Amino acid sequence: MIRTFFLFLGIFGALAVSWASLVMAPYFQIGMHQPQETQFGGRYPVQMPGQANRGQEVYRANGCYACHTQQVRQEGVAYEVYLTEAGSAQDQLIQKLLDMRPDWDQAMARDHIRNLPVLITTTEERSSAETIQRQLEALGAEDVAVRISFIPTGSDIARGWGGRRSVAADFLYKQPVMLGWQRMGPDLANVGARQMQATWHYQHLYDPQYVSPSGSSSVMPPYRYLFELKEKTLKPNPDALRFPASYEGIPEGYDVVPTDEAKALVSYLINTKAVEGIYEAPLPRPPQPAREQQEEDEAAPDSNAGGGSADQNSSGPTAPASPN
Amino acid sequence: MSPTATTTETSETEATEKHLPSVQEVDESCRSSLFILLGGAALWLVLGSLFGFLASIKFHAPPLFADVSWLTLGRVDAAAFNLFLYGFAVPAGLSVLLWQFARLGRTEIGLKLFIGTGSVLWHLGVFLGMLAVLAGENSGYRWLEFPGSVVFVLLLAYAILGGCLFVQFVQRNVRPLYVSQWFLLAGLFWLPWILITVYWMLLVSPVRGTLQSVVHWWYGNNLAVVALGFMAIATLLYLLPVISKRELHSRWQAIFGFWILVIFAGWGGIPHGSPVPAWIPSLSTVGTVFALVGVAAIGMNLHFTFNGQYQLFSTDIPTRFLLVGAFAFPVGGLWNAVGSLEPVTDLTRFTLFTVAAQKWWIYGFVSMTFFGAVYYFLPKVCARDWWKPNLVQWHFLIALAGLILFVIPMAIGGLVQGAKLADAETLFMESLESALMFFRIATLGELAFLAGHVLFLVNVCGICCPSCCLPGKGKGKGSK
Repeated sequence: MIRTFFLFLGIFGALAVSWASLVMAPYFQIGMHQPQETQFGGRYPVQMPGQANRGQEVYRANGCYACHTQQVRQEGVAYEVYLTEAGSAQDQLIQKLLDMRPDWDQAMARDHIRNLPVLITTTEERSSAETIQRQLEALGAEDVAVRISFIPTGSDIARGWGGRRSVAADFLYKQPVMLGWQRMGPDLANVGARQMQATWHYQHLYDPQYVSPSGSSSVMPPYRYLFELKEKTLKPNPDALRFPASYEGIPEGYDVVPTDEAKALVSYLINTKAVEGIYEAPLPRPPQPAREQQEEDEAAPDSNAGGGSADQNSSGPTAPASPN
Repeated sequence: MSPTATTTETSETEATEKHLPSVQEVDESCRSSLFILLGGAALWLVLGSLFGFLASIKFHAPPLFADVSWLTLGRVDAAAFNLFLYGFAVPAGLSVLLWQFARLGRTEIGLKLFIGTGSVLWHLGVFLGMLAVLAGENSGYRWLEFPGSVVFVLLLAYAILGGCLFVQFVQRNVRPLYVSQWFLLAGLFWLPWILITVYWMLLVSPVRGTLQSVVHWWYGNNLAVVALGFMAIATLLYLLPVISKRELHSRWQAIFGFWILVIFAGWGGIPHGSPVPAWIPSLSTVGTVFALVGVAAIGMNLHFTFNGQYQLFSTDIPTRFLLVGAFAFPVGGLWNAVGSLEPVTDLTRFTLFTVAAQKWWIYGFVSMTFFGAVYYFLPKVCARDWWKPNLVQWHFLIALAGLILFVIPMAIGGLVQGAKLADAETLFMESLESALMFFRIATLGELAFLAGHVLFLVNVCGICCPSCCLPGKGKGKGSK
């Protein structure tokens, strides 16, 4: 009896190791997260509007997460080298630039120097970026300025599914958190930044095969039960879906009108985006010309946040990249 | 304590002295309890496979039943998976556990009314859960789509059922423990623990942000690998020695494997690249790789126990199921370990490859082992022969065909899909099209699963119904 008791205790202790390390420890680390400041000093994340929250319920109730993920992955980092100040010895500089950029000619180089900052190169190696920076700043007796900015890279980002990787903060107000596990459809973490038109979403939900960029190869089921057929009246229905005249999916004399559920779902999709840069996942932004950058550095909140810069002279990017 | 001792009668004097019931009495005492658990399990298995096949077909014909909200792809897929887990896998695991506790402890099943009540309540919970999922009240967590109210019913059912099984264990006649009972005890205890954790942290009082995902992944891994996996390992450790009429090759190896698994197996399941602190997936990978040592220990033990008796594969059908399970176990452990490594996860995450890996473990290992055990003990428990012994053979062939048709194309398709997803120059559509090519073959696999499960239902009902309804008639060569 006693032996069995100790055996049971041993089993409990051993199994509880996984519970303690993978449930309790993360609970204390990320279970009490609060919203944080963005690179701009704004608050992140913010709650979606009420209709979008209801749309989240519709997304869950229809099992959309079975085919769509909502997380952008990052595979690495690339370093962008920008010339921000050309200095006085421009001939020497232009010569050096032409060595680095065989695709430029003299005229192009002069033009670029007049319209700074200009991206010189992107490299995977930080040491290469710093070498280029050193080489350029050695010219022109200290008045050439080069800044290095780093950008997240990865196939998800290159595909335009997001400007940065998804992090825990993005899901703070999601309930439930539907990260997804299969990509039978594209990732939806930033769908609101890609497809901002409600009309497109309604049409896509009604007939994915007709509207999807994948065309008839799309495997998304039509969600016709989220719509109603209403007889056409003399007064046109403002909510009615508009398809080209050749479309045959609507019976004659009827309008297809979204139900409240469809409207909520579309509102949710349009509000699903993570376009703010935050401490653990900053968004890259090309540096401004040096004088403006200096003013910005003085005005911006002091942050050691690794914002997109690998150089102690420069500070992090301060604006989100344009939506993908 | 030796497993083979449980099948042989002790001498007359010993039996009288210890008042040990005979093996036959023990088996037959399990009849009604097992029938309630397994009959329901077989029914849910057929229903779950039907939904699974329907979901699979919908990928090839998206407008099929699309106008009916109850049959939309997302809900049908969720219902299929959860019916399989909670309708079949858990009750089958508990029935296998019940029978082994009875056999290994040489105890007749008592508290039958309570066990029956718990089982019926569990099946009721599964039924309500299925309705809830199809109605759109799913929780959003793949490993437990049932809403909180339904999970409460399941927990209540388990409290009764699990409590009775624990009492059964405590009141066993044969006191020394065999290593299977260690695994069963661990599984019996851990299932409610993880269920209560997930019930509280995801359904009743949801935690914030991606902690939900961590808890969810932890739960899924612990359900598949620890709770269900341990029940299946216990079954193999008990039945393979019994069938080959040998002792387990090495008791110490089994105990070593047990402790390694019990410490490390629960760590897995958290994928790299998730929006969670990086140490969590790393720790998860470490655990999965360490658990491989335990898997190898158990796998080797089983092999050395059964070595030389593999010809039984061709003569005995339950053995076929068990050997497939015993083969799938180390392969699955290796697959999980390699699959959790970062370079592999980067390629295969979000592809059909992960579906294949999951199916291999839960079906190829856990379910095939449970089928083998059920086909082994039901004739003894019901003291009859199979209604149509051919159907048992057909079930095996169809199940094996289904497993191969599903897992191999999904795994290959997943790798191709992953390679295309990883290349940003390739359109997303191309990755989907290449995946669908392999998916078509996997749909045939789903059809095979469905057919096999119908046979399982027929077999279970065909042997249990007459023995329960017509006791005393048709006593066959079932009890050996």
